[in-house]
Amino acid sequence: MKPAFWARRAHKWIGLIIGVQALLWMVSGVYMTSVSLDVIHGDHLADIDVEPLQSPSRWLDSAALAARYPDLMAYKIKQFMGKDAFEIHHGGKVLLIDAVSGAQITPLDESRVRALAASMYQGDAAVRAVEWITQAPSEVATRPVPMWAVSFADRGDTTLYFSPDTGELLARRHDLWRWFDFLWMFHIMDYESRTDVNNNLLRTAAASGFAFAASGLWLLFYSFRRRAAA
Amino acid sequence: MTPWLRKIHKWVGLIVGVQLLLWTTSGFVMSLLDHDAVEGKAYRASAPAARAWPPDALAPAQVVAAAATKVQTLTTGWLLDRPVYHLSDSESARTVDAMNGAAIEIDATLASALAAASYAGPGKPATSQRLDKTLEVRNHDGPLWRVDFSDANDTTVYLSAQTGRVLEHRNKTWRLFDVFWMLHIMDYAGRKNFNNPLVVTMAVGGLWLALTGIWLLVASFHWHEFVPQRFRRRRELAVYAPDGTRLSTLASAVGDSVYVAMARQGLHLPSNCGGGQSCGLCEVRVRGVAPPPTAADRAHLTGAKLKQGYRLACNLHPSADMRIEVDAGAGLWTRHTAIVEHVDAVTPFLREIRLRMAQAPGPEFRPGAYVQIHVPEYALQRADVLHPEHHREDWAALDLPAALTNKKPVRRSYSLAMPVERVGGCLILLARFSPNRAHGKQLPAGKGSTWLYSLKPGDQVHFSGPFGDFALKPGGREKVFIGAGAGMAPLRAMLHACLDTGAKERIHFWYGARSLRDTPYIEEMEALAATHRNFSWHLVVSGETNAAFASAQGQVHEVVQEMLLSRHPYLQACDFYLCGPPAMLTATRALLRELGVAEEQVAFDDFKI
Repeated sequence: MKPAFWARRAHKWIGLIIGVQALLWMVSGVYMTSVSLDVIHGDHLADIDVEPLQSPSRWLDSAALAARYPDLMAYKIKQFMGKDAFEIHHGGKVLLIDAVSGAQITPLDESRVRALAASMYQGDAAVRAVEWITQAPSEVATRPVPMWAVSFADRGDTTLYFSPDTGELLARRHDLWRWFDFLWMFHIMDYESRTDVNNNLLRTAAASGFAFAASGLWLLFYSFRRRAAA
Repeated sequence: MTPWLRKIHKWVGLIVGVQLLLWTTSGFVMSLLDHDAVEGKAYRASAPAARAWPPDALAPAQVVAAAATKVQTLTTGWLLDRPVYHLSDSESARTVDAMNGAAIEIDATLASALAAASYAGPGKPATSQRLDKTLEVRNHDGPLWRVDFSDANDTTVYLSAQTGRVLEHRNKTWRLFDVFWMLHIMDYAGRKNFNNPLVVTMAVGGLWLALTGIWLLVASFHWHEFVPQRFRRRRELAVYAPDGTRLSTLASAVGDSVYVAMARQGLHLPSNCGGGQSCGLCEVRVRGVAPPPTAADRAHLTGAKLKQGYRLACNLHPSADMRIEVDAGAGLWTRHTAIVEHVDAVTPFLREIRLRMAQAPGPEFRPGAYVQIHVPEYALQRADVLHPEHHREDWAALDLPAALTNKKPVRRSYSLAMPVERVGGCLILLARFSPNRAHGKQLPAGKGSTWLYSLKPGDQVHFSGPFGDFALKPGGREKVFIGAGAGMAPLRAMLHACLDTGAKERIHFWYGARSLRDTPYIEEMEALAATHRNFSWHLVVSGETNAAFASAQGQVHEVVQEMLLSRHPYLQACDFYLCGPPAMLTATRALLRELGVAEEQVAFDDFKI
């Protein structure tokens, strides 16, 4: 039989095997490329502009620090809700204290988190729920628990995740991100953890996809000649 | 709907096809490359154990106060065994000694030591290089240090030149991955932005392709196809010639199209696309009640033909016994035998071969028709390819291999080069030798031409046919023949047929050749032009010119345009007959279209390729 016939047959049967996955790759590809990555990351949802440190002269001195935390390993001085704060790492624990008064800020309670979230959030919607999370949902599986989840009643169903120990914004999640993640799962064909790009299913499918594309290209050679007029 | 989607599918495929191949290739490679290897995990040292912060370190307030810029964060840290403060502001980051407040400059030696501390492989660090930026750490702004390690993975450690922080470990697996990543996201400069317009456009094209593809998949599968052919029920497919002769009856498995059923028996209906409802060549006529025409039938066949029962064989699935008529159907089955009577090397690479058939040829062997020569398996030596002494130099230049073989019988099409009645019922074929040397690359010589060039008088040849719809049209309209190379063959037969039957209309023949030496039948054409006042012949030579015979120099279609078509008062009254290599044919057809010549006025023969 003619090569054109074989090319068509190959393309058709490989298409039967991999066609639906090819569609999923394309749908997810279009989504992932056309929605800006900055939007997916939620840069527009929460502002973490850092202000300069304000009052070094009034900070607790090193001796006081050493006295309070004899097993001090490391610390960081940063702005927290408009005030200078020390993030203290000692004895395997992390906590935040006011840099001037030394008052302990963390662990954050619900009202504090609510205020923190509201100060960062860039939208107009109100806080819908503040949740104490001890088992990380899959959308923040890589972040340490426990954490606070602050959800907003906006169109994207925004959720901001905060560390109760450092007040740090751990993650911004919203529907565009969740769609991205969902489609990414189809793109890499890891339906469980959505992170393993080396799974054998993907490898097999990608190889079939290659054969599919190659047979399609092969077929193109035969597909543009029309009936000769005579 | 389906023909439309098919059209969209193949045109979008033409545009995105190569990128799709790159996407699947790069996707496959990236899925093969182990993520941990890409990240260089094997040679990464584990983080040093945390140690107590020295209580006698300089007060941070003092360091911040001494800083020239407004510090945003201060973090304690260690550079090897030295406690430090990392300071950062909105612009930059820097590191000072926590004991004395002195700014720490990350020099080459320190960079190398820091890199070595983060590395657990067998390599040794080379001299550190300071860089302003690198594609390998594209997300980092600011100067950095590059430290190469002498291991098998070509590990490179990058550090910030401001803070001494280790930024990345790169290795050759990562570098390979990165090239495929670039191809995958189509950001060839930055390798970072997968929101670029190019990849979005291609992805949208790919989505179209996938959507139309799914439709076509459903449309082109017949559920019977999932049953192996031998388990399917048989239907009888009776094949007739247009005159009513029953040619053959074959068993067709339910689910196979007529095109496939015939192809399984080695009977190849004319087709360019291989049975994809794309070229419209495989038409057959259903005797009795034809099934309702599909969209593809309607797209390729005229209403009159549909009414007569014509359908595309590739789209015709007999579910009951069926009787069909095939034009030139007889030709598919026939296996004529002929004896080589005479061989004439008319030019170095054009050979006239005269064949005498066992029976006299019928009227279907008309000018414009072609036959399929059955080229057998062969193993020839260089010396078996014959040529006369005076062509020796031309052949020496070809540099043919010593052995020429054909492992599988093939069929090759050749047009009749003379009306059969003019040559006592013989078939004249004109075979061009194709050394297949294109763009300086040596490819195997043409399988058909090699064999034909080994033929001697007395040898036996088998062929099928005749076939083809390239034919003279009735009505004495002015005729313009345009040809090149082996395209001489059918045009010459047609010319003779016209002139021999006393045609009175104006007949032009424009023929293009590389050189005078490559031009066949010069004297014959001169003689015809001398005896027939209504016939003129014009040779256009593209290479060196020897003004004696050539009318002009250049590409034949360009010269015709300049010297005839642009001056012709009424092209609509002419019929055009074209035959030649694909490039010449395409250019000439495009030219005629531009000049407003209707498709019905143009007949052409595309060498069946």
